[in-house]
Amino acid sequence: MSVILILMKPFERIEHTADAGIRVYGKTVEELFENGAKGMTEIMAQGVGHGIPILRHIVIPSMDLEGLFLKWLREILFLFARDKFLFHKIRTFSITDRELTSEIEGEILDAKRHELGLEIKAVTYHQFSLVETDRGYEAQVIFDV
Amino acid sequence: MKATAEVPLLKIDDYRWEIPQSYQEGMRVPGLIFADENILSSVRHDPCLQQVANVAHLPGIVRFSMAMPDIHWGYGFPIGGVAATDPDQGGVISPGGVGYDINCGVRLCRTNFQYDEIKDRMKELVGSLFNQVPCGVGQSGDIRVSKQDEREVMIHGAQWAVKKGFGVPEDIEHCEARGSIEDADPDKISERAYERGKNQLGTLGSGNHFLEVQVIDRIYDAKAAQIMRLEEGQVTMMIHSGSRGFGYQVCEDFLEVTRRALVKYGIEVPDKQLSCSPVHSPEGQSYLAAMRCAANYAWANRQCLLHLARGVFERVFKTGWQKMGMDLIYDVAHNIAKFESYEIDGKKKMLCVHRKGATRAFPPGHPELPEIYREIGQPVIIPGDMGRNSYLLVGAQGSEETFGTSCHGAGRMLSRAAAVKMVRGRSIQRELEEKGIIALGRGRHALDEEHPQAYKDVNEVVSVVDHAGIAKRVARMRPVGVIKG
Repeated sequence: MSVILILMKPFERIEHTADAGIRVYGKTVEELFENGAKGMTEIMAQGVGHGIPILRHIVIPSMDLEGLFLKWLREILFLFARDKFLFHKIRTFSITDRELTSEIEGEILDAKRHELGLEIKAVTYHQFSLVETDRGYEAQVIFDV
Repeated sequence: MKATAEVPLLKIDDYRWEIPQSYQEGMRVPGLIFADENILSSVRHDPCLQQVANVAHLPGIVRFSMAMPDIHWGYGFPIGGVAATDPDQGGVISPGGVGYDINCGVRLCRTNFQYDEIKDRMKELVGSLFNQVPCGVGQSGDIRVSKQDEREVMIHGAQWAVKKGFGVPEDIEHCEARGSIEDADPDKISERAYERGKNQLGTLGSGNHFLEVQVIDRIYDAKAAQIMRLEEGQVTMMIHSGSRGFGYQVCEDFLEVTRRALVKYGIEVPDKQLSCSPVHSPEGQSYLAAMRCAANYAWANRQCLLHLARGVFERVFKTGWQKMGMDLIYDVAHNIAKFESYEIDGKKKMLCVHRKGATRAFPPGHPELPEIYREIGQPVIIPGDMGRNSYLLVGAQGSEETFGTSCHGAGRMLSRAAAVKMVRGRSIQRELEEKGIIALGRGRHALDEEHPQAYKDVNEVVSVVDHAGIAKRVARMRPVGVIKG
């Protein structure tokens, strides 16, 4: 049972001397993107999912999956930087030849309710990877903090 | 990336190590690392040595690809990296040679207090600083700026803040570049950077940024200390912050631009994160104009932070800050690229000096120094970790070798995860308090991640630059109050 749980975990923190990184798993592309956004958000604040839900739309012009994943994280980081919007989950998600469109749900940071973590400066290219595996998809990304 | 154990190092003297130019095809100059045996052994297997060699591939690089003793891994350039390029020889500007936090820097402010006089008020003081100086992820301050104001910040830096009443003209005189560099162009700034910058002036941030109340525990150079009106037992305050989300966005925007420029100009670099553009190119000029906006934003931010902190001292001690002698000693940038004149092979050259996690350290007599410091050299402020020491130095004649540059801090040794793991079950806050340091952190692991053992010993780092003749020690401080994001 514990082995299955380990295999199913959505993301994990990875060590890096100066910064913070995550390894993300997903059975589908949508799950990978959702777990990536959750993993990144958890570095910044914990306790998301109990506030007043707020919706945001994300549209990214089509590019390869690696590029889309990085851009997706950068969009969500920007929403946090501008509006203090903390990602919670994906409501709708589609990728066509033209673009990625998604409606996401989150809440506004509240220092009284959320446990604060680290500010993320940027989503970097360093040691970035995104691969298809037997179980779906796996990605690794390092954040400058 | 090549295994770093293979990077050859030739000992020049006890504090200098060379990576020969012959190590890799494409290196245009040798590497030069300032370190003693002990520091070197701590980075011997770290990829940062390879990064020094990688930087040596940059077009137009002059003399050496250098690294200071606080060297550790960074994106593209190592932290502690110094590289000067000659624009007239195809020299490039690289956003990775400046870093995400453009003009991250430090300022040091004196007070008239002896520590013994305010020792019993420290809890109240640090608590008030923690509550009134915005720190931590997502925390914005009361200083909101309109888009027009933000453009003014980008052009005038700390001078904007003083004009708004957040300081006095003397503060400007005691800032590197008088708190503002010319040729900043707000039209080169993306809408996103504007958005990220509008509510972050006067905020500290998180990670290794801090505000510290310190006490001078040793004076090394009595004459320089006297000119700066410093003595043993005196209380000082140090602020470490940068250009916040504004600068991060500028860096991100221009990493994309320079990645494309690598192809356009046919530049070959061993690591894509060393993306760059010729200084004399539209891309290079645009980045420089935008980087200067972010540098000026950072100077304005540190000026606002000083203003907030002075206000807290005023409320706690019920005395005006000027009466408490809270004058700015100096403010230095440690993530920046600047154009400076140096003599290369007998000719005066205007070089583009990248300092990434490295501090300008102009020697005595340099015309850019404020008159009061011209005789002793530029004040160089080196923050350490929150449990040991920080230093005030002055630039020395030997800094000619390093394009007027010294180290910038202690240098991280452990990852954040490893640091937290190491102290599991311990209370860093209590351990520091037992040493007489009141530390408050906003984030859940803010103090654990930044605990002293996660860093190299700044005493060793500073000893290297002092012995190498780059900068000379003036005073050593120890922390007594710390606030962290």
